[in-house]
Amino acid sequence: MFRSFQTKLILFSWLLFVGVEVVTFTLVQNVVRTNILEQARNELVVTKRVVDSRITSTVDTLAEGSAILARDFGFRQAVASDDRPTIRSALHNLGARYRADRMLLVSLENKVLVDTGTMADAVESGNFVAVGKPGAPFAYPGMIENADADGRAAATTTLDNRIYQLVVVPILAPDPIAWIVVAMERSNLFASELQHSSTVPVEITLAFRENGAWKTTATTLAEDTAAELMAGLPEKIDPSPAPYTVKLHNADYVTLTAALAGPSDTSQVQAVLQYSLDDAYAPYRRLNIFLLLVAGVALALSLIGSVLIARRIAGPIRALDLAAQRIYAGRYDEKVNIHQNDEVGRLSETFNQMMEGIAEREERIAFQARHDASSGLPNRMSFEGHLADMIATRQKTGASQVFSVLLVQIGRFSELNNTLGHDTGEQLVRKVAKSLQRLVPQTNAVARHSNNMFALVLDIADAAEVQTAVKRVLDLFDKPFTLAGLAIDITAIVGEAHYPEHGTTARTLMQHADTAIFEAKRLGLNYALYDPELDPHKPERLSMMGELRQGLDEGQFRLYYQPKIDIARGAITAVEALIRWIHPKRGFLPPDSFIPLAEQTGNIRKLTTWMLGAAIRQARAWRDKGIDVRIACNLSARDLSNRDLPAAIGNLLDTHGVSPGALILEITESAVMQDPSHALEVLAQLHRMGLTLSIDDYGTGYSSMAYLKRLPVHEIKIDKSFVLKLASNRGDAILVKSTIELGHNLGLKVTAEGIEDEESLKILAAYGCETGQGYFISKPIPAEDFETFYAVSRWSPRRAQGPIAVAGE
Amino acid sequence: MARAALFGACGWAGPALSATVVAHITSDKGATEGAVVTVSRTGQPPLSAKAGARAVMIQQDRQFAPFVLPVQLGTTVEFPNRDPFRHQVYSFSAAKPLELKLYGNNEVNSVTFDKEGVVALGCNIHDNMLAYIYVVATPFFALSGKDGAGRVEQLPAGAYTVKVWHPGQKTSEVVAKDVTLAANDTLTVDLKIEMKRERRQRKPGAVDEKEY
Repeated sequence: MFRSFQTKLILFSWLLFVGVEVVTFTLVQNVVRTNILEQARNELVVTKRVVDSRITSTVDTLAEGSAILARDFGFRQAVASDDRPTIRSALHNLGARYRADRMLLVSLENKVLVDTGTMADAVESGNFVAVGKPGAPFAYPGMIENADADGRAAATTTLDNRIYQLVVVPILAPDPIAWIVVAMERSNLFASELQHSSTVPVEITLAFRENGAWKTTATTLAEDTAAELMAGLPEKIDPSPAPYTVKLHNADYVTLTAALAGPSDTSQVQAVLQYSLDDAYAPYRRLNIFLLLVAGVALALSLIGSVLIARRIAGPIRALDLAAQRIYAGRYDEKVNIHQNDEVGRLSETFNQMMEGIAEREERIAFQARHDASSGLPNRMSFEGHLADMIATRQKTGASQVFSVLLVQIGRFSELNNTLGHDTGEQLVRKVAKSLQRLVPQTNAVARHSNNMFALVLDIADAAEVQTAVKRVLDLFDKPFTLAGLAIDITAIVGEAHYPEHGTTARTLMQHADTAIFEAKRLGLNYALYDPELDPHKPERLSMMGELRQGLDEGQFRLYYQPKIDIARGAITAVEALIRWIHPKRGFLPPDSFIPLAEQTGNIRKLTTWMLGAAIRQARAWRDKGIDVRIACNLSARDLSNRDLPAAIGNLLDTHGVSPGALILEITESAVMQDPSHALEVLAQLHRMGLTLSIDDYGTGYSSMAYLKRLPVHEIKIDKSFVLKLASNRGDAILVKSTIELGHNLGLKVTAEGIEDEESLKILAAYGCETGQGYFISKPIPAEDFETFYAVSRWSPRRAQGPIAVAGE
Repeated sequence: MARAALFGACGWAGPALSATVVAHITSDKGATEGAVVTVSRTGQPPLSAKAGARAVMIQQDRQFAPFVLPVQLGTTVEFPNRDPFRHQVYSFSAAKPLELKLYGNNEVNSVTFDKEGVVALGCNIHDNMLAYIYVVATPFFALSGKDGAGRVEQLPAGAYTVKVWHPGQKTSEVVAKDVTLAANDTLTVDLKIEMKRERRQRKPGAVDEKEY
């Protein structure tokens, strides 16, 4: 229930206020109480002084009066002559003068000689003039001793259960001859007189012990209250007590008890002075009511105030909360509508600005997420989404209308970028993008798939129309693109896949179009339609690759070696290492059945690594046996894009102690052309290491003289298709001859492979071809067979065979 | 100081009159001055002074002098007034109640004390004035000096009772001691009395917190 901010705010401020009020009120009460108690104590002490001084003055008056009587010669004479009627009348006279209640004459032997008696005695005797009962001993002989010593004695004490102020003076003649005792009764009247003479209404009670209980005959309290007080007094009263509080008739009294000077420790009269706290509090009661009233009003006002303030804060916060939820949900249309000239108002304003900012950025991010920054085309993700939408629409309507996905890969893109500069590269991309969009103007039909690849969707059912469209795309790249006055030739390879024939998901269609590109490349074409049969990603092919990796681990691969001879000397100088897979179940597998697949799936690197290792090991073994041949290994396009390859080869050579000159690497032109910039870099590095580089299958690709010049190679190897029928085909002979001349003119050595008869060998010798290879010399054979061949064959260097006879024209 | 009073002792003159009693009076405050020491023959009836025996109690400077005046029974005491104003000497003592009415300068009144006992003297005009006349029934008495000694001489040998009285003593009972004196004896008697308080005559007009 305290969860809402508003409630918390209100509760906090209100509780704080209540707390402050309570503390203040308590403090005031405490101060008032302390003051009242202090005041009460002071009043009591003052009253005690008043009582004392009243007693003192009474004593003085009585003592003075008595002394005058005691000195009266006639009175002394009467006492000396024991003239009792005279004495009594004189004492009565004295009593009347000073309003004393009772007078005694006590003999030197402490006998009461004359007693004027009390009013009670008067009533009892029926005389107006009361007559006491003389003959008894005086109750307080100690007072007489004190009077003898000091001239007078005074005490507040009791006689016959009444409280009296007693004064004793001697009758001197001039030695004491008797004692006058004057008694002034201390009754309720005395107490109330004292009370009236005090500034505040202090209750005064004089108490004495009688029969083991406290009793009073002089009090300002009501009878029952006095009785209650008497009952509550302790038997022994501390001679110098501190004021304390007693409750009488449900009223609190601050009480001070003080012993009045008595004749001895016994029969002492206690003055009990009390100050009613109720009376003392009376003036403060109005103050309290006023304080409570003020507190109540302030509490109500603070409650109202905190509610108003809390609403002014919490209301906008709720509105902002709702706005934040809208932002969370992605709705930025509704603004926060708070117009307050304070922090909250400014927050709301900022909130609206934030909302606009978020909306703007989100739009931009969303666009960026779905588009390529440089071309402005939808990106691959967006394109896949578009395809998915198309597929979904078709699946929903149940129609299976065909459409085609095209991937257009720009050839040598990174090289172009490097050569022309990145900005020009970007411009080129935009130009290509525009051209493609012109061809396929439908929305989202053209996208940038990746750096060097565009994706197109042709929503055309008719196969002939599709072919036309594809043709137009390919034709785009026939003419050079003009950019900043430069005419730039761009090659492009197009892969195509059909929905639903080649896939029913965007991803599959794209993948298959990509596979088609790969296939086109492999075939040296610029276009291919996806062919499931050739797809290396087909499950059975994938399983073959798994077996290939396993086979490498289990040693199912072998290297066969086909000898190469120095044609001029007719002696073996090198071998070409060729891989053979002896599959445990399928038996001998031809390289064509797994090399292209390994190349497509990337497994060729493993194969190459294994092959290089085996070949270099073999080179070392042969060198140790005195067989002096160089070993040629084939590298694929994938190998050429592997920047780590030179280092790996270097390690192998070092490990086996084989010199780089003993290794020849054969690379096809097309392998170089797939990623020329990388390939050139790798080749340059291998060249620097001292390896011999050879262009394999020369004459089959789109051989470019410019490239040939730039490549760091030592020799070219004429493709066997030109050599096989060299002896019988004149055209081939011309080609071979000119190729050899071209190579020589470029400073390259020339190898011919596919020599199948002696005639061809002779022709090649006549043309000046340096190296020959073919079935005429030997088919590929295992290492041990080659060792024998090297030792005993016609081409063994050890046989010191002469040069091959040059064929006639 | 030992002042022997020899009133009425002539009749006993002879070699036998040679014994001396020195009474040392002490109280809890030590040697006590102003005590009356009396020596009387055991079993002897009261002895009055010869006719004409006199003593003087002077009123001068609002004071009685002496403070204590021991006299033998039958002695007439003169009360000369040496002040230029009146005194009214009185006593309510049972031994001799008296009232010498207002008399003036150099006027002498005399009273004969014919009863044993203490006569406390006061002046009705001057409250501070106080004196004692101690009437004894023997010719042998003395007043103790500052050393507390009361010396009684020329006592015939025989059995005696030695008594002491002091105005400040606690009770009216007198302390007594029986002694036997041989001729030419000097007997020292130690008598201890219990004092109530010191009684003395206050100076006239002295401001005293005690009111008498």
